[in-house]
Amino acid sequence: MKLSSQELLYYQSKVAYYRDEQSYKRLFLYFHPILYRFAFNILQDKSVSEEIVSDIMLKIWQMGNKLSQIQHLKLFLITSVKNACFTHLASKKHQQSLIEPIDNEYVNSCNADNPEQQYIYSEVTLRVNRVVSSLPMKCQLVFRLIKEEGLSYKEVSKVLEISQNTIETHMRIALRKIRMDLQQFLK
Amino acid sequence: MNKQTEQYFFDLLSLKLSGDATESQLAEISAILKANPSFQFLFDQMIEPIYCEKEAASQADQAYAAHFVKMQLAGMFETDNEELNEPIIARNARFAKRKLVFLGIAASIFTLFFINYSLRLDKSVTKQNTNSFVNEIVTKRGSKSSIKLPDGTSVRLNTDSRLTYISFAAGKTREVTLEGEAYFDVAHDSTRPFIIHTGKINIKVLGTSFNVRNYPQDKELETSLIKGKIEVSLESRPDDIIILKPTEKLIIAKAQAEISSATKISNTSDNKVVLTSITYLRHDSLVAETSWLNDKMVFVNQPLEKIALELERKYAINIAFKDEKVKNYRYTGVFENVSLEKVFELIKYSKNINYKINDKNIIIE
Repeated sequence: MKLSSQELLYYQSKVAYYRDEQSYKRLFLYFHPILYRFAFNILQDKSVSEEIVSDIMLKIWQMGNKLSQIQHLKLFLITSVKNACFTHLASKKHQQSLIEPIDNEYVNSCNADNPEQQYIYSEVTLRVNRVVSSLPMKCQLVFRLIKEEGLSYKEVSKVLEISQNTIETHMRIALRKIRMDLQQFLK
Repeated sequence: MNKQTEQYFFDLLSLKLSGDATESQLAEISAILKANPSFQFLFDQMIEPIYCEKEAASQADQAYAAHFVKMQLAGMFETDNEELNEPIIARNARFAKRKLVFLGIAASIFTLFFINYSLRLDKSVTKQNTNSFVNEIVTKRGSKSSIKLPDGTSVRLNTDSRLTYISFAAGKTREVTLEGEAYFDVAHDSTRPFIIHTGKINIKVLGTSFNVRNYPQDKELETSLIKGKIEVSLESRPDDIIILKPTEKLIIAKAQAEISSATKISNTSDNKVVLTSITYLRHDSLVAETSWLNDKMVFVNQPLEKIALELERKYAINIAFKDEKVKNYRYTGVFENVSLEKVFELIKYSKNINYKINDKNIIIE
């Protein structure tokens, strides 16, 4: 589901002022993939990630009129999810779950055309995903927010509370690792 | 190509991905790609999404279905979804999901029960002579008891409670009935489920620790799970099963449980069955529901009427109210090893009440 920023604002105020359930559904469907992926990257746990996303989405409904005062809903939601995830990790202290192998349920090859290409595409995508998953947590989050969710440097720096220089460094590390891996693949 | 170019290219590519790149920067990317074709493969990969949008969208749809139920349960949405006209018990997102999984298991368990039951009907006549003595443990007001059942299960019985069971060895299941409050630490035995009957609900466990509160004077019946897993079903509707997870607490209004059995209504507005979590006291992670095990009385925002009932049980006294308003005064506090006089002093200290202690009778004015 793709929504432009104007559409997002429109639905946001529809929910805030008119309690419009259809608009709320649109917002949920738009944000769910972003928030779920983000939570899953941190937690590596499907059900907890779902629960956190659902709780946060419930909160924006409960906000009522105040919802309209949020200027960047996407940033607000990602930040809320981030906080909830780290609170969860702190309370559970399951460090081991961070090292668990990544679940590649989202990785797919739906936009390749011929079967041969499809095979290569999915293998490469898997490789890229594996490299990204092996990166340190912060680096991974920066990379995914920029590459997958298209957040700007400014937005990422707000969400993750790091400087734009740090973002640049993280991106260099991630891209260098991926490039090295892809070169190996080509040989 | 040198390291500097590589780094510069990475910086530009990052800006492109984040949407921050300017026109001239985009042009630079094309120029670098032309001069260094080895970057092309990386570039192609990076502008492709890793995640499949279609799959993400269908997952979002599913998540919304569950979320919708959760919102309705929380009383957020006004519109009623017709698909969701299930009985109240299943009207929780989490229940609904889990219910699907356990429906199959539940079905098989109940067939087993049925077979078991009919077998027992046949034998009941002969068995009655040999094996009909009922064990009963009763605690009076002011006293508690610890019991070890034949299967190794330990039970702590709170004051003014009654636990009965028929010799375990005979049947396939371990069944007890409870009136009052008790904490169970059930010995694990997957072949013989442990079932607690309370009149309104039945609790089935395989091996776990939890608290059940079923005083006749109380308006509600509660069960709080500390660890493991328990299945709760209403006597009136045995095939709706509620699965509790650790730290969850189920509260069932007794009067309404009766209504529901009579009329089978599934009205969303009244809370016959409430799933909540156990009450932790922040400062020392004390669980209010099981505090009685350590001779503590914990009240979190409880009306004096409820506290009085507890005090009556613990100190074997009678408390009478002269003023109805006082009954609704709410208190939060922990009492540990204090005399009855001290309890009332403390209550008075927090919100002023007048009381007279006359041996075993106390009058609150």
